[in-house]
Amino acid sequence: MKASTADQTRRAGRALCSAVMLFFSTAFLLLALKDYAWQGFALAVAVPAMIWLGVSLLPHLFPADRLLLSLANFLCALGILLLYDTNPDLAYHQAMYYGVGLVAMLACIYAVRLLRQWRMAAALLIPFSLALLALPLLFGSEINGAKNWIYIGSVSFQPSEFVKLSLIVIVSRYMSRRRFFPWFIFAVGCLGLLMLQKDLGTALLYYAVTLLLYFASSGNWLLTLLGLSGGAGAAVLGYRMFAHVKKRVAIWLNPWADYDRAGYQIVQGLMAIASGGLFGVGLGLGSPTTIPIYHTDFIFAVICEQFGWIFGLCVLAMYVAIVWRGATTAMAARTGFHGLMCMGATLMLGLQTFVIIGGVLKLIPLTGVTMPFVSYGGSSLVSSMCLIGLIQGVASLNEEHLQEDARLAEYGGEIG
Amino acid sequence: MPGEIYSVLSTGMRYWFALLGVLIVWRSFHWLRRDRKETHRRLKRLPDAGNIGVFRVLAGGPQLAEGEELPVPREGVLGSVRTCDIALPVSEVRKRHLDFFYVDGQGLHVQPRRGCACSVDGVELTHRSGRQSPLLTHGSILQAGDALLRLYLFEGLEVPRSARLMSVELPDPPSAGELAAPQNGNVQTPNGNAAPGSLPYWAYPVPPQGGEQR
Amino acid sequence: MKRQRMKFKLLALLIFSLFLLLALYGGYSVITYGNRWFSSSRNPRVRAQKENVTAGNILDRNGVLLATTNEEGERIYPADETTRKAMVHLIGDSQGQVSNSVESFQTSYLYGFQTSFPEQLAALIRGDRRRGDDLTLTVCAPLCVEAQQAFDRYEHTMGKRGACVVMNWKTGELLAEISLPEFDPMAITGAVKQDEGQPFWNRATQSVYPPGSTFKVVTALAALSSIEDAEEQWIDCTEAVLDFGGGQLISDYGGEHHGVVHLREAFIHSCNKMFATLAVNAGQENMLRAAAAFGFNDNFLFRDLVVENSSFPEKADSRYTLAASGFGQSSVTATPMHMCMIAAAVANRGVMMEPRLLRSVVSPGGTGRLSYTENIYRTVMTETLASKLKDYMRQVVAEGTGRRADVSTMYICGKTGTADSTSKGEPITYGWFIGFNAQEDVPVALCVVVEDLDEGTAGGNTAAFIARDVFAWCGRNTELIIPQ
Repeated sequence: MKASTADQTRRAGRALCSAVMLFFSTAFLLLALKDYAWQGFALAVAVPAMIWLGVSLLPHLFPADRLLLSLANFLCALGILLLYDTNPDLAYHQAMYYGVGLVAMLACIYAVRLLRQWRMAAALLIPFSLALLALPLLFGSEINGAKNWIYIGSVSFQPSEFVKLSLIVIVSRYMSRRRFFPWFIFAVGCLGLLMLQKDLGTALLYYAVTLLLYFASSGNWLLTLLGLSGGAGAAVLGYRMFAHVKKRVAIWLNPWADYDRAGYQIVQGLMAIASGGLFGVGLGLGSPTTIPIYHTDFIFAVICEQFGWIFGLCVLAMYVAIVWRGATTAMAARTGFHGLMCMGATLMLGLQTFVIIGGVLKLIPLTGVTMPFVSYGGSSLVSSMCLIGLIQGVASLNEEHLQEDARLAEYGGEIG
Repeated sequence: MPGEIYSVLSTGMRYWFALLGVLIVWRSFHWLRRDRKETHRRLKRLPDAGNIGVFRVLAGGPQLAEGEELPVPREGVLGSVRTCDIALPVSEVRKRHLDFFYVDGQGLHVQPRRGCACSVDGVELTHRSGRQSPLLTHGSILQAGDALLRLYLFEGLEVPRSARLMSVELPDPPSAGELAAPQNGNVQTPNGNAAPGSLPYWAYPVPPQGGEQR
Repeated sequence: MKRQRMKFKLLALLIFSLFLLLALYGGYSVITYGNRWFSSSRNPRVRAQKENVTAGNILDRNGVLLATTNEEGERIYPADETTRKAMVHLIGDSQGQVSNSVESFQTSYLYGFQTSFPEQLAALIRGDRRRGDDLTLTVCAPLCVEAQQAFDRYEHTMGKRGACVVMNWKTGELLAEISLPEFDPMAITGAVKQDEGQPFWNRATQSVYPPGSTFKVVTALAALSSIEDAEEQWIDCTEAVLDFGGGQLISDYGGEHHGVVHLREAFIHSCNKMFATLAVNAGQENMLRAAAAFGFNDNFLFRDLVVENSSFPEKADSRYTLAASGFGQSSVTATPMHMCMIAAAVANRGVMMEPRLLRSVVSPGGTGRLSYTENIYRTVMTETLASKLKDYMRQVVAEGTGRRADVSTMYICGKTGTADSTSKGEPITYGWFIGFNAQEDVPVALCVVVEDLDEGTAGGNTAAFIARDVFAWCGRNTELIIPQ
C-alpha cells in the first residue's frame, strides 16, 4: 500500500509538471511566432526545461516539497512570460533572479534543517537586520515617495524584503520561548524604520504577520484585539499625518475624480481588467504596456487583460493552494517554533498577495507591495523563494519526524 | 507573422490557456486533498506520532482516574482546560499551568507559568527557575497542583545518561516488578495489565540488540 | 501545541476568506461595471482597435441609418440635418463630446470586441477587414424630430432649453430622447464648444431638476399607503398661505385658492397646500419609503444607459422642508428619464420597467448577437393603487391643470409641474409634464421639461403642449413605434 501511494504521488506530480511545461512551451511559442524572434523559440525550450529541472529533478537531490515547487515555478515562469511579452529585457533579468532565488531557497531549506535551536542565529539577526533596514535611510534613493531601495553598483536591492525573513524567524523563536521583549523590541524597531522610510505597505504586512503570530502562539483574544485596534488607530493617525496617505485613500474611493493624474494607475488597471473579459484579449494582444507599473504592482491587471478573469481566478487559487500547503505543514510541525515560523512565512505570502490584488481591484487602497513570484524585482522574487524555502524546510523536518515515528512503531513489534 | 493571423491565433489560444490553468489548479487541489487523506491514514496507523511518551496518573482527582495514561507530545501546554495538550481537570491546576518541551539528549523541560506550583521529583519549580531546573526523564514524577504524574518515555528515544531515581516517598508506591531503576541506558518497560496484542508498542520488552541510541 | 494548531487553522481560514472576498468583489465589479470601465473614453484599447476595425452601423427601430463608417474610415451621420440634431445626444459624435452616448457606451459591440473566435477566423479566411456589429436601437428617429420641433412651435417654449423622453411603458423600450440645445455632429465648430448653453450635455439623462408638482404622484402614493382614509382627508384651501414654521410660507401657484379639497381634487388642480399637509402627516419615513419605491436614491446601473441618480433627502431638516418636499421642492431632484419611468410605472399597473435602448445587435456575418428583452426594474406599488393614481392622472388631463395635453382620440393621463429653483444665483422656473397614454395598443409614456419659463407661464401651458404633440404623433404613427 505504501508503494502505491508513493506511486500515486509521483504520478500526480508528473501530471501537474507536464501541464505546467505544456503551458509555457505553447505560450512562448505563440509569442515567438509574433515576430519570429529567436529568443522566443529559445525560451519556449528553455523555460519548460528549467521547470522540469526545478520540479522533477530538484526533489530527488534535495529535501523539497514538489507541490510548492510546482506552483512557485509556475508563478515565476508566468512572470517571465508576461515580462517577455511586454518588455523582454526585464524578462532576462527576471530569469537571472530566478536562478538566484532557487539557490536562496535551497539555502533556506538547509538553514531550517541544520539550525535546530537558532539561539545564536536569532540573537545575531536582530541587530544585523535592523542595521540592514536602516541602510536605505542613510544611503538610499527615493522612488515613488518611498525611500526603501539601495543601489549596489547597478543592482537595486530592497532590504525590507529580506528583513521579512528575519522578522519571521525572530518573532517565532522568541514567542515560542515565551520571551516577550526580544521580538517586541525588534518588531517595533522594524516598524519604526519602515515608517521613516515611508514604506507603509510593508509596515502593514510586518505588523499584521507579527500580530497574527502572537495570536497563534498565545491564544489571547483580548490582547490581539487590542493590538488590532492599536493598528487601526495608527492607520488613522497615519492618514491624518501623511499627505500622500490621504491622497491614496481619496483615489481609492473615487479614482475617476482625478483620472488623469492621481487616479491614473487604478483607472488604467480597472480598464485593463474589464477589457479582458472572461478569457482575455489573447496573449500578445491588447495594450498591457499602457497600464502603469505593469511589471511590478499591476502585473495582475496584465494577467487579467491577457488571459482573462477565469485565469486570474486560477492564479488566485494557486496562491490559496500555497497557503493551504503552508498551513498544513505548520500544523504538522513538531515544535512550536517551527510551526510558528512556517505559519509566519505562509501568512506573509498570503497577506502580501491579498494586499496587492486588493489594491488592483480597488477593494483596498493601493500600497507599495509586489505580487510574490510574479512581479518583476530581484529582492521580491528571492525573498518569496526564501519564504517557500522556510516552509519546505519545516516540511522536510516533519517528514523526518514522521519516518522516525514509523521506525519507532516498527521497533515496538507492531507494523502499521 | 501578419497581425491579423496572429490575432486570430492568439484569440483561439486563450481557451487553451484557460483550460490549462483550470487543469493545473484542479490537480493541485487534488494533490492537497490526497495528501490530507494520506496524513489521516498515517495518523491512524501511528496514533502516537509526535509523542514522546505517556504520563501515568498516580494521583488525580474525581475527574482524573488513577492509572490513566495521558500521551505526552514533544512540546505543549499542561493545564486544566480541555484544549491543553495534557489536560488535568484537577483542583489546584490552573487553566494553563505549565509549558513543557522535550529536548533530545536531555529530557522533558518544564516551565511553570506565573503563580503555578509544580515540582519535579520533589524539587519545587517556579516561574523564575531558569535553565538549571531539573528535567523529567523516564520514571520521573511530576507534581502539578493536586495531581501526581509519572513519565514513561517511549523506546528508541535518546535516553539521558544520568537518569535519577526518585527520592521522595510516593503516596502509592508502584508495585515491585513494575518499575526497575534505569541502568547505563538500559531501559526496561513495565508490563501492562491488558491482554497482549492490544498493548501499545512501547510496552513490549526491548530486543537485546539494536540499541536505543539513534 | 494543540491550541496553536487550532489557531493556525483559524488563520488559514482567515486567509481563505480574504481570497474569497477578492474573487467575489472582483467578479461583481467586472460584471456590474465592466462595460462602463471599458467604454470609458480613457481606454486606450478602444483607440487602438479603431485603427483595425470598421465600426458597425447604428440604425433606428425602423431601419433609418443614423451612423456609419464611410470608405475613408471616418464616422459619418447620414441622416438629414434635422434628424441628426435631434438624435445627437442619443447617438453621440465621433469626437466623443457627448458622454455615454451610444457611440461610446456601446463600443464593445460597435468595434467588434464581442466577435467570437470562429467569427474572427471566418473573417480572416474570407479576407475581409474586420467589422464591428450593427446596432438597431429602439428609438424612432421621426419621433425625436417631432419632439424637438414641438418645442419651436409654441410661443413660450421656442428657443428654450429642456429635454424630452418617450418610453414604451409595457416593454421599457426607449422611443425618444432629446435634449436642447442641440448641435450638428457633422459640424462641430468652436462656437458650439463655447456655447454657454452647453449643447454637449445630455439633459435627459444627466441633468437633475427639482420635479415640482410632478412629485405629487409620489406624495399621493405615500399618503394612500400610510394615512388611513387618505381620500377622505380634506383641507380648506381658502387661506392664501400655510405656515409650517421655518419662516417660509407655502402658497399655491399664482396665489390660487381651491376651496375645500380632498386628495383627488387637490391632485387634479395641483394644490400645494394639500400636498404639503399630506407630506407632513405621512411623515418623513413614509415619504422616503414611497420615494425609494419609485427609485429615488437608487444607484442606477442600467445595462444600456447611464442615468444620473435621483435623490430624496434621507432626513428632513425641518417641518418646512418636509412639507415642501411634498410638492417636489426643497432638495428633491430627478432626471427627466426617471420621471418618465415613474409615469410608465403608474401606467404599467405599478411595475417599473428598465429603460433599454438596444433592440438588436447583429454581427457582420449576419448572426444575431442580442435581441430585445424586457427587464422589470422595480415593482413600485400594487395594481389597485396604480389604478387609483391613473384615475387621478386622467382627471388632471380631462379637467385639471393638464387640459392642454389632451388628445381626443387617446386616453391621456398626466401631471403638470412648475418648479422653482435658482441657477447661478438667479431664480429660474422649470415647467414639467409627465404622462402616458393608457390605451394598450399605443402604450407610450413621456416626460417633458422646459427650462426657464417666462413670467406667467407654467408647466400646464408650456410642457403640456409639447406633450400633446408627441402623443398625437404617436397616435397617428403607431406602426412606427410599436411592432405590429
